[in-house]
Amino acid sequence: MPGILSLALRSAWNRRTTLAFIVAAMVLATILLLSVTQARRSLHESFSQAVNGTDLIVGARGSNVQLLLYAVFHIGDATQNMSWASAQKLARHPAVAWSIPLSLGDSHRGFPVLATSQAYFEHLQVGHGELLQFSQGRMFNDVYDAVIGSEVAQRLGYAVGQRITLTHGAVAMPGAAHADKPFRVVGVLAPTGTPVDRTVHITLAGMEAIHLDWQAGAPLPGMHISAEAARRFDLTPKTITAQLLGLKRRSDVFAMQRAVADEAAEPLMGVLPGVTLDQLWELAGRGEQVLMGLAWVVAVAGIAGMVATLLASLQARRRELAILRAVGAGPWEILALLGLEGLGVTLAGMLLGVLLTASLLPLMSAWLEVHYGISLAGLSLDVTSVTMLALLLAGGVLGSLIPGVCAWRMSLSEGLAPRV
Amino acid sequence: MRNVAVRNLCCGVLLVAVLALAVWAGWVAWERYRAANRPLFHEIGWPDLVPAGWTPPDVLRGMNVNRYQDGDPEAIDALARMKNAWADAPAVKALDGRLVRIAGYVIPLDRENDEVHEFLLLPYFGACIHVPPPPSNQIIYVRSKAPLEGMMTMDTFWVDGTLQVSTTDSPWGQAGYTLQAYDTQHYEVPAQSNKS
Repeated sequence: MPGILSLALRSAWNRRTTLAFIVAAMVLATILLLSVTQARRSLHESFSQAVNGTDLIVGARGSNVQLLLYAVFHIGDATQNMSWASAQKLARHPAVAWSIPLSLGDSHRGFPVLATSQAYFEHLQVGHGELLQFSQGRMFNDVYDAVIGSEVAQRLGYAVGQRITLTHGAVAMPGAAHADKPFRVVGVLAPTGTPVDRTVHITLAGMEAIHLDWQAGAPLPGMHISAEAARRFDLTPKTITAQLLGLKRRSDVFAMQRAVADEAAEPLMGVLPGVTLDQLWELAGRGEQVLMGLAWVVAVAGIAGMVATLLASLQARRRELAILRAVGAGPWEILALLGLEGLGVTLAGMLLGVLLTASLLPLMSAWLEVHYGISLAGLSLDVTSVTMLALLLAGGVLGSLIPGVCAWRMSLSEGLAPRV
Repeated sequence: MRNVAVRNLCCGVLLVAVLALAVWAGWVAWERYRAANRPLFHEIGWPDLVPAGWTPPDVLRGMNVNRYQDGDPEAIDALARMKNAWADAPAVKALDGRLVRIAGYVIPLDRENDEVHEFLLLPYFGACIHVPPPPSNQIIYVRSKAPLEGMMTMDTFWVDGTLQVSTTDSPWGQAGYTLQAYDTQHYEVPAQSNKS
């Protein structure tokens, strides 16, 4: 028996180029299946982490998904702002425990700038009920103070004391820079795995100061207020983009949502982050299913390729099979050897695929982190992934039984006199 | 040589089958033990959360609500008065610490990796859209130590757990219900007949 095994191994080595391509097809199928499942799970987790702990997000009335994406993930645009007066009124509401005002619109070298209050650092939860931590420095106090996320500090090489200039709008356009009013970094936040990492945080007063002598997105000609002169103005904001609310009693969230909607002064809405995320995933659900389906189609194509190659090679191996029969291998051994070859090839492809996925995911995660503030977890082999891999392996073995049965019948009918 | 190969194969398959059987038997025994040692949960309905004999003040007296269109100022005013009346909805203090079993619609509040630890249980569908929110004694805030998977907004669930009555300083009713969940099961909504 061992003799036959070593013969089979050497036969496989002889056909190594063909088999290498089959292994490559298996590798691709594994990478695709694992990446799609892992990315989907990480994406859901990453999004949920960013909104945990917030009971209601308040903004101008419109689409709830769009408000969530803009206020929390800084993706997209706001259609309308809400007034500071309404925000103050909500902050003083007896059912509200804490509130965080948010104002967006500027950027710094591609990273979004968020104007907020000190309540952001005291109440915002990231991940499992944890508050924001500082890796360097402290939170802002002065009008021109800034606190940056860990991703910003790492990509741009900033530390406490760095002077930065902000740009109006999401993209750096010429003439859109607030060059006369530089900000000073006073704190760097610890990594959180949420959009906080790629955000530059400034005070609401600072946001007002840089737009004092601007109108409709451009500086007013002939009217220039210096940075120091701006301090003497009343820098209370008139409007903000959105407000995060935390309630004293979580079950009041519906009554609060109704109170926000019934606010007569201006059209506002409050959205429950968890419910809105579910709606977002429902929208994306179809796309995810299609992606998963495609991944399986690729896997089946890989297995079909392997079966086709093994079947085609049987013609060339008639003499080899006859020799194996001559040294005492029965038809069952022939079947078993071909099944083992299929198993070996699929297993090799799978293991290589798992290794490659484990090394590719961090790269993909790094890209997503910079552009969207979403971090993907590394490869974790849970029940779903292992079941998928087991199915792929079973498919490979079953597929290789087709050429195996062919070889079995061939060796039975031809015996020791192959038709070569 | 063929007999050896076939015999080895058969032995291997038999071994795997025996192992699988042992695992399954162990799992069945564990589930039986758990079911036998389960605390007894008393099934309640949503009306049981309202004190017996309490009626909301009759704010709709003298109004013909069937006449009103949506957006009618009188209807909006009536709604506001109803909501104010519901703000004083009391809780049944006797239920504090009881082991109860109740079914309702769920709104997951915090989600980690498809696992939910906190959610709200409601008596009717669509409480977060354009219908008035339920009064504070008809919303249960459920917390579960064990993570609950596969829970989507507005799914229906049976929840078994310990009910607690707490008072909070809130403009919408002092009394609130919290449930420490022991176990949850999907609630199968009975199919509607087409007779009506």
